[in-house]
Amino acid sequence: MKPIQVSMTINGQAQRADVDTRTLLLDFIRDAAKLTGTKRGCNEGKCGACTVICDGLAVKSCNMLAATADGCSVETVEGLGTLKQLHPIQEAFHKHHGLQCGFCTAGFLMIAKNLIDQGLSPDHDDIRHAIHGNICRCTGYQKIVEAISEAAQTYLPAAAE
Amino acid sequence: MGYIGRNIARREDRRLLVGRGRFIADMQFAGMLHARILRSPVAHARIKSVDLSAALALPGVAAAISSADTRSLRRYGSRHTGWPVGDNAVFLEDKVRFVGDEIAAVAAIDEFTARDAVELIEVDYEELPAVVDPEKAMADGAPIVHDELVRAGIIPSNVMATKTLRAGNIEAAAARADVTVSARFYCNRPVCNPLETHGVIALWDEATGELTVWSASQAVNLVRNGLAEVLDIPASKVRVIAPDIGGGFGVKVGLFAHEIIAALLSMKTGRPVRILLDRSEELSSCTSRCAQIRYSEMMLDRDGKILGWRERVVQDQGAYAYSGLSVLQMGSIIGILPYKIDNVLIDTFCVYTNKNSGGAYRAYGVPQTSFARDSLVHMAAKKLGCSAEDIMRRNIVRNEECPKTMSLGQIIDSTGVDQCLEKVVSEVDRLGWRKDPQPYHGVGFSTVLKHSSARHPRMDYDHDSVRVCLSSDGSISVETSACPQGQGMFTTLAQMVADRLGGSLDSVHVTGGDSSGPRGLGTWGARTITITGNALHRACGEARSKIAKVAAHVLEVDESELEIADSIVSVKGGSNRQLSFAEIVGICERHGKRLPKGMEPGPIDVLSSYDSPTSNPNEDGHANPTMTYSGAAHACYLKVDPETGKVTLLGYIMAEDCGVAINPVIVEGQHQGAVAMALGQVLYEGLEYDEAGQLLNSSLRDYYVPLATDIPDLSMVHDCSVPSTRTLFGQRSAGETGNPPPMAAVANALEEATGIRFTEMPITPDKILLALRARENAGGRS
Repeated sequence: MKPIQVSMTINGQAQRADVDTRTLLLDFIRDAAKLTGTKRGCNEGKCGACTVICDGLAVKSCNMLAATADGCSVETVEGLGTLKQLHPIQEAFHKHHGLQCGFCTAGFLMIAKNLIDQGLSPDHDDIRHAIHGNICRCTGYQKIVEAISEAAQTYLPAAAE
Repeated sequence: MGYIGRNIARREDRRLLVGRGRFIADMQFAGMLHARILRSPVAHARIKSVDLSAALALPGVAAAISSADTRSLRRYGSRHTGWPVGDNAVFLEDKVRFVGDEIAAVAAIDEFTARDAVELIEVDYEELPAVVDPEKAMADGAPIVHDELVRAGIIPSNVMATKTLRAGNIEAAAARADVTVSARFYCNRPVCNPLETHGVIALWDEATGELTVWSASQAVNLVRNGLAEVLDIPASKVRVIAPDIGGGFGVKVGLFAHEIIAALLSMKTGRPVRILLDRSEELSSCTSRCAQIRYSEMMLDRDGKILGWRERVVQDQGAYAYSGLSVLQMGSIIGILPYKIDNVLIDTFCVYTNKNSGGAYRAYGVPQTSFARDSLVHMAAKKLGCSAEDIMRRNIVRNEECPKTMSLGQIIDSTGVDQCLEKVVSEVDRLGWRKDPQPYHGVGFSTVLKHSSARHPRMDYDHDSVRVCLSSDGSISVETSACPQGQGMFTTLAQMVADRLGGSLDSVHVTGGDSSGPRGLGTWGARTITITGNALHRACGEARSKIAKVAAHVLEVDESELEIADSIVSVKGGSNRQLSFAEIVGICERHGKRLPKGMEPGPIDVLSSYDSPTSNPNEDGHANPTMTYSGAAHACYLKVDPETGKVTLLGYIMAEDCGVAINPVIVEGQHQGAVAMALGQVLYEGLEYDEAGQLLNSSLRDYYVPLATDIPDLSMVHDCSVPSTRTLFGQRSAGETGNPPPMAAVANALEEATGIRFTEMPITPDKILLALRARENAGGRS
């Protein structure tokens, strides 16, 4: 396979790499940018563990070629909070026990951020619909919904920037 | 003191939340190769030849192996069968026994190259007729899955094992019964589907002969022992480490072929080798819930007392034994609880077929039996003109009767299951779910008493170990044999350590998942909270008594005058005479002369083990395979759309007894997760095979896992806990108890909603719609 050059911004940092044309955005994030917080759960666009925000839209990064994201601005879980200073959405997941094994968590955090960034006040049903492209096998979704609900009330995207 | 019972936020969370978890796929080693496994596209075939030459010729390929490389390896898989040889091996006997069985493997410089190389392997198959239906597999003349075991005289046919469980006199019960209900129940074949698929990295050091393996495993010591045996290398030179594990639920227990294959490829190349299974391999080739056909019969008197329980159970084991036999026997012994049934006869048959193998899956056989049990209770209630909960009440074991030995030898030490039942019934009434019955709406109940540790029927051991060691700064390291996969065990165990030892919670550091740590069986079968918990109680107790002894000697008081809290030992009564753990460790390690006479100077470092006082089945199948039993009762409220057959879950109530809840919010999360998984099994999930044994849904596009929009609000969790009298903290398990009841609770609610009894899971909209249409055509209720 012939490599192609792909560049994009991930969490505000420029990333450039020569990659196989088959390379998915997910692989670019994990292998080229060395950001392993974004997970591969199914590689077929069904589980949502690889959800990132690409130019303001939540996308499943296993469903998109790296080449398609050339020139885009991508946000991943590493762009949220830090160990010392969690992002309010991460804080809400921590407080509400919104994660167990943690493998699906990055995807849920990003889809939640994308939902909350829209500035609506989602109720539990809205939240369930927003996250229904993401699978969690541990929690039964209850505490994830509760965490996102609280985050939506406490975290104002504009103020947090 | 006082950490137990508090909602301490999980110490596991922070790194997972910021994307700093370290799963197998996140680990990198210099020179690491990536391997792929060639898997069988057919259900049953003899492999006449495997040609690796084209694969090996592909640039970037480092090694390839097939059965020619594995013939000298020892077979494995006899741990649960007790046979002289196992029924499994890598590329066993040049035969494939199910779609997904391993044929060959390639290691290459990257994943793409490995995938390309696997495509280049040429295989000559001699296809054999497949045996897919377990009842047909039992018939004379059926194709034999393990002909080599039959030839060796180890098994007579595909029926790999039979066992009869009996108590009382079933014939007399049948003669006395006023009402008998029976049905053929089918329990389907879902797969655990943890979000992280199986993965492994093997690193062979030829110079030292050491093999280090990182694996997404719930049981590092079982993998370590298995690898040492299969590869014929000393166990002392094999180390297995489980890093962060992205869910398990049973499917990551025990030795798997990919672990051996990674080790072999590392041995062949001298380089680290990683294998990450993809989702289709996770579905096709790891183990699944043991599918069962249960012909179940319940006999009752006119007052609703259950007189007898008779079953013929055929387990569709699939291609290899794994833990299927244990699932079948334990699930049958425990699954008939919580009802007191004196007369029992259960004939079990475990049958090989050409499918993905049955193995451990959350709650280990109890859901299968529970589905039949409480479906029949509901059916009996219809016949007797009473409610299902009346029959449940009439027969449920009550705490005031405990300790009580039940008819198959199950010892109920204490229980809150009776309270659980009362709680869900009263909650249903309080919420008015049955007040104004709406068409196509229904409420169903189910109960369970489930094991809180699992002594496998053929295993003579059931232990875990904990090492507690204090450092000179007073910090407390706790090494355990636990291998958690998301249960928050390190938080929970830390709370137990802090209370038992008197240490401050922040100073306790708990680890596990490393075979070079303390020995034990790992985290499965709901056993960590009880078995590891009891080992921890012992280890901390011993460390605490040494601390107290030293402190009493140095402070010149009697031990009874001391109190220990937050890592400080002080003299009771407001005195300022005290010693910190750091000071005490300093005295023990560096000032031996200050120690009490006879006490050896040295670290405070205690290793304790705990083996459960449980039993293996006797000839009648009587056993008490678990430390204690956690109980639950659930109520499900749903509606059915008669035009589409779609089920909408309107509400769900859980009442649970997990003994002393160490961390209630974690316990609640476990119940919710267990229920959601079960709702998936009863309504949506399961591997589907066609008549040729071809797997029809090996992708999440075809295999449906419930989403947030399918699962109802699960916030109604009621704690009806009664402390266990057999565990040292009074604890029982929480992770699996929520899994069995949804099966029958949903089926019972569906009968209330439609008047139709569904006995085959998953109960999908097409089945419901067909049943509704069939009744319409027959002139029934429309």
